[in-house]
Amino acid sequence: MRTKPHLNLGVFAILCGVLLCTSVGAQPVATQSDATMCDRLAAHPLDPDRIVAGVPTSQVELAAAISACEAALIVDPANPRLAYQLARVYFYDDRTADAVKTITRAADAGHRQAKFVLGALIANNRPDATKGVCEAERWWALSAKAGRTAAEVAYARHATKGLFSDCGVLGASTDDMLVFLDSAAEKDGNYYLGLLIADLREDLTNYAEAH
Amino acid sequence: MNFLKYIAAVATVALCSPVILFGAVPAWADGHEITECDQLVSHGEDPDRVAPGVSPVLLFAGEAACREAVAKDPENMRLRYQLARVLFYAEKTEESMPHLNFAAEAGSEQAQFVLGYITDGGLQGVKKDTCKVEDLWVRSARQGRFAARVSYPRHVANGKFKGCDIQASSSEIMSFLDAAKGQADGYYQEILVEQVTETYSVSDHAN
Repeated sequence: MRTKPHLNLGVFAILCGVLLCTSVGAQPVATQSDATMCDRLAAHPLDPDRIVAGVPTSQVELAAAISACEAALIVDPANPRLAYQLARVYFYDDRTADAVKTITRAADAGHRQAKFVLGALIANNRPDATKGVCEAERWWALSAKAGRTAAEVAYARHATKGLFSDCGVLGASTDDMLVFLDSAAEKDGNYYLGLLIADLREDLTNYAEAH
Repeated sequence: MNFLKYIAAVATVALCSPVILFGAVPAWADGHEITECDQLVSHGEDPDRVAPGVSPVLLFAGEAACREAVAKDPENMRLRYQLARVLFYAEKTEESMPHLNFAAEAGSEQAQFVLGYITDGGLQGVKKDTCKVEDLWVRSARQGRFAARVSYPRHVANGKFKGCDIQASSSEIMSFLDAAKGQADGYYQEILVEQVTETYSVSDHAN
């Protein structure tokens, strides 16, 4: 006679966990335990994909951070977060050509903070960055659609001021921009961002009427 | 007062209170005694603070510490502002307002800005008074508070002070914005200053 198998509760929990992970089928998500020295020394506090708290610009130890991030990227060359962080510290060290090359690699690999920063470098005509506001428009649209608050705000601000008017078909519609501003408002309760969003909503209403 | 807020505050106090972790040892900075009220309730953007800013504030511990500090030093505008802050967060609005008014009248640029902000929005039942906001914010902006230096020109540009005596001239307002540009900390503050400057420059008041 066959007996009913008994499942230990702990084993059951592990199986459920494994099943849940595999059924989602997602790539492994980096957590704080995966943090490299590059993360600890060069993560940006506002990067939504950082895995540690982040280091304010004024507190970055450049030489140590550059060494750590170059080493980390050798170990894990396809990691866009590490590439962004290396680009960040290159930029602070005035190695703009290296910074642009490395941040483009991170942006191409889908890193939303890298896409925002690359767009900003282009929009601000920084040395070694590609020229042309339409290229900035493209990166900011991608970053904003991925949920980076700064890109959501920057895109709406530049579009409503008409700075993308020569760019042909834009990466984001007026409806998209409304979603960007709603999303930015939901994520952050900062007073100054709140004022900015309130003004941009008004500008967007005028922009929508004119288009 | 939301019950869950109190539970969270009690738990946070129990786990994190610097008084529990480090003891209530008085310290001094630039001749100011750093009280437990400063340690628990200082605002990060208050230019007069003598301890690092705290957010969120521990309501029970903060209120008790600031009541004690104000009882010992009732003329201290910084402590009066901080007591007002914690009382307002605890939704003890009627009790908070006299302390905030005292601090604003005593010259606290932070209290002037915050009282203006509360009065502008009519927050927690406080009576709205646009011209009082104008007066509070222009004083705060003249003393250097960044938030007032952008909020005042923005309100002028948007016609929010219509019917009030606008005390700052257009050149003084532009000087607020120029100074704010130098004070801006981070991307959002920088582009807010740009945005307000653009809006103010084409407003009726500027021309």
